[in-house]
Amino acid sequence: MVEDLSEDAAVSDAVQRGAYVFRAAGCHSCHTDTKGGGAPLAGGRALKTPFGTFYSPNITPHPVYGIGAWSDEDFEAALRHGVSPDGDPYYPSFPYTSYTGMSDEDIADLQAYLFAQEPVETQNKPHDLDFPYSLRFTLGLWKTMFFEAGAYQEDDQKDAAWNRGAYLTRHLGHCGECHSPRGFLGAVDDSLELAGNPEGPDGGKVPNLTPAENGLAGWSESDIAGALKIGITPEGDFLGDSMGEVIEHGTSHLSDDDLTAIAIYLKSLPANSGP
Amino acid sequence: MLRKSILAAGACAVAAGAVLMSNSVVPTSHASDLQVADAHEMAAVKQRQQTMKDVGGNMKIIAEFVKASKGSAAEASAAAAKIGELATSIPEIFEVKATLEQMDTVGKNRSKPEIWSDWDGFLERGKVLEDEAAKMAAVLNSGDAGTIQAQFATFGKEGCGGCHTTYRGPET
Repeated sequence: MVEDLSEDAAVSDAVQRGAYVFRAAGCHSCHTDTKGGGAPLAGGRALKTPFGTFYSPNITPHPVYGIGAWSDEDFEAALRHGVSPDGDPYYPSFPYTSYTGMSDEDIADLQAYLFAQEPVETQNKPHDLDFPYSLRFTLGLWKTMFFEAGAYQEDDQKDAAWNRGAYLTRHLGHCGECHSPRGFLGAVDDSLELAGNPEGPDGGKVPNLTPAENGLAGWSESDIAGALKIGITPEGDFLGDSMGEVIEHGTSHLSDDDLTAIAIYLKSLPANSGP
Repeated sequence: MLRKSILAAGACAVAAGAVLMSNSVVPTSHASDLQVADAHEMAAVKQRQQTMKDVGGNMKIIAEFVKASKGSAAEASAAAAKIGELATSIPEIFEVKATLEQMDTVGKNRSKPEIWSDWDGFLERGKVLEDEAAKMAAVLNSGDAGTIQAQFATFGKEGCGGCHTTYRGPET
């Protein structure tokens, strides 16, 4: 990176745009150990899954413990291809399977934003996984079975709002990572995408986001936007737990247009009553 | 205090029943202790759930007024005042510890253990709900749409969502 970052107007624009991408991509919740009082983005948050417990890594620009020594290519390879700078595949607990659809510009802006944050000297904690998921070498095979890299391609049969909604929901916001059921190999079943997950992270049930009766059938577009903005449901309940964090650090900061786009996209899905 | 002694009396009655039953059906007294604990906790859980349901019902009245101009400002303001009143019972209704893990077998209970491990923090959250509800009730009577919208968002996020994020577990 160039030395005079602060002088460069184009870079600071990228940082500003990146701040928004960062919100929409929901990086904060998983990469911050809020419960344990960890520093922002310094990792260490436990993600309990049926495959074992994952600990998120430090994504501050610390050169040794964070991503400070990463090149632009390293950063893109991580998000687009799920590959670490050492060439190792990531576990899909890191939602590169969704982020792969990010635009080149969003990836670059997100990197600019992260590199503008305070470096934190916190060492990464190794994952604590059950056999056979603990065998990292099997991930290469997993990827050939379940993963295809590539930026989101707009559907020209649909309007701009729908396409924006699809991009935000399926890629940047990676909603399906929690809101879809996974098979025993940990991959999302495409036919049940966004249809809810009875075995979500931390042992919870994750609701169905398709317009099925057990999903969002009774929700209007403005109900969905309202839930993402302030957490309210049509029953007058307020979402909490992990979705509360997503709202607090992520979706409540998005523009009304983007929240409506997500709602338009979700309401356009075929109703699917899920697993 | 009165409520406590009623609960204690109830628990004794249940205990007596459990001991009688244990002579014929349940083989160990240990098992009957467990039953007593569950009955006591179950009552607490039910009371909590009812209170939260009442908060939600009143919230719905406010939301419908704010978002869709259904009902009147006076009704919405009264609902906000009611939530403030319900909020004052939070320390009492959460006094009995019955968490997600303990209550796995007896239905839907989403209280996280953090409520009791961070009791002061939890009570502060209850106070936030009480204060924000009072502000909401006042603002609804003032009539300015912009202020009402803004306070509604703060009320929901700080009063309800903030607490649910830290202290309420997922649906199981």
